[in-house]
Amino acid sequence: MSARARSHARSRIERVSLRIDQGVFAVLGRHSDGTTALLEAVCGQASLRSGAIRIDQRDVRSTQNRVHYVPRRTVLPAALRVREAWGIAERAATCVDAWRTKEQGAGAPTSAMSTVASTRAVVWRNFDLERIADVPIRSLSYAHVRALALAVAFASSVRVLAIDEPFADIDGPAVGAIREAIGACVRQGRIVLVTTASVRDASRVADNAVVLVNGSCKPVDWNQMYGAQPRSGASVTVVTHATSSADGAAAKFLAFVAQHVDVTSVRVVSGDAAYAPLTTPLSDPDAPHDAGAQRMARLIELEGRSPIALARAVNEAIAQTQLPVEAMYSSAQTLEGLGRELSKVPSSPEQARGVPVSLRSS
Amino acid sequence: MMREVVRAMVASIWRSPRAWSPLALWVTLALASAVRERPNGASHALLGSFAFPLLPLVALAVVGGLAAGGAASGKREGLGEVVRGWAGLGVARERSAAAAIGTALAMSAAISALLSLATCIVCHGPSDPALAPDAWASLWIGGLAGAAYAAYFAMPESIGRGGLRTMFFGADWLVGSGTGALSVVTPRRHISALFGGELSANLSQRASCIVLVLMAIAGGWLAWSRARRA
Repeated sequence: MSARARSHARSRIERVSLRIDQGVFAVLGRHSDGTTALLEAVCGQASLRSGAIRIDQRDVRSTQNRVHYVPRRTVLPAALRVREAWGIAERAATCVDAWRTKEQGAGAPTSAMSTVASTRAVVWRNFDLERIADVPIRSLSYAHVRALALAVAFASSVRVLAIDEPFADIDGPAVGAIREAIGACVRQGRIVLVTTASVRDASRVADNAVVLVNGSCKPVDWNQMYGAQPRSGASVTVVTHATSSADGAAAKFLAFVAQHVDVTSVRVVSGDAAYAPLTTPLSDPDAPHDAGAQRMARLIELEGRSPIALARAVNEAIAQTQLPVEAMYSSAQTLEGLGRELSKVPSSPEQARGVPVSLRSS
Repeated sequence: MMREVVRAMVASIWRSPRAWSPLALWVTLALASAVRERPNGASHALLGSFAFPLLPLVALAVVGGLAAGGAASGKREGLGEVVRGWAGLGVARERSAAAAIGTALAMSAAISALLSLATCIVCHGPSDPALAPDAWASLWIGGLAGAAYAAYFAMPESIGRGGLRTMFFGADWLVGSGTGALSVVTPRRHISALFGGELSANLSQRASCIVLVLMAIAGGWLAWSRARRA
């Protein structure tokens, strides 16, 4: 498929071929690499120059109710209050349900409808929307507007969610809610297509990923993305406070990680030595110098053979144990480095032919 | 579904002073103009500043108000932005575009019809025809004019460029001030003809009426078709 985005003239894709059967699929790249064009094409907005996009074997242009697109620049009706917007979103989701019921005939939808209704309630609670329910959208911060748009997408009942940069411009607490909601979508058999310029964000949620480089699609595996070595694997480093209150959390953190992933090496360093290698990224030239605070740092370095499992286990462990994390570093490559590496790899014959994009939910 | 969306769109105009203040201004001016023109009779008042520029300004304010009230960002970026906002809530683009254009046409038609009726009643004099048929004619002509102007201005509003709206208004003013063949393409001369003014390119009043209906339909469709793809 070749297409050009409507909203970003420079965003275009050339002979991209993808097949997404289920789960979360990440496309790594920037707007100029064609991520926006890809998402707009998937939701039937971009002008296709060649090829086709099919969802459940049907052309996407005839199946508008199957994709919910959350663009990078989130737009919602500003004059509505959050509760009103949510009500309309629920009504729209009900219409999609009714449409699907009609399409599938009488059968499965009753249980599916109740699942969707409970999902909506969970999403409303997890995104803490009750707190801002009576606030007009125009009075919300952009982070809240974006969280609301994502919550609406997760609460919808469409088959495919297309999300541009799901973790961008989001407040800290919403990150966990997004990860949880994406997991729930996958459990419901929906497809979540995310585009991001961050390898770390992709690894938070995606099962599979490709990299878009100048409009061309390059397959990539997680080991490549994390620069994993055959023997040692990839590493994740967490910097925390070395206070007595954080000691318990750190112990629980290590136990959680060891329980959930195969860790090949653990190194814990406290005090000055822990802080020394990280002085540059952590130091703020404008902040008052506090040598005492620097000595309180603790560095936990973990290595594992499966970079994606390690990264996820570390993120999960941080959330579960409420470890006070000051910084986190991983061996994940930057998008530029990955792009440079992949641009040397020639496209496969299948990609060169431009086989249509096909999305099929399980 | 459409009912909820339309209701919310109308509510969004009243909630945004930036959206309703121009409309309130032109409606007040139209009423003031009617009072001022009272001694000259209804025909004179309707053909005067009411037919142009107040009627197109009211329609422009309705269409612009809908775009401003529904806009998600601080900037007013046309009906496409409104449709994108509703799409973010999961409403199909076709539906939200239809709701936006339909609301604009209906609101503009209703407000113009009521203003036209009010002008006719306030200014009715001895030289005018009987009040009841004159009021009825003013009502439907005002409604038709409002819908035609709303569709006419919805086209540039759906493209989203601010300058285009001004260009369309200017084109209506320039082209519609004459009675030549070109005056057929904008609403102004047809509306004047229906209110009893000079005919547009010698078309009958019935033909002008049909042209206005076609303008409302074609303009509305073009705006819908553009806005849904925004």
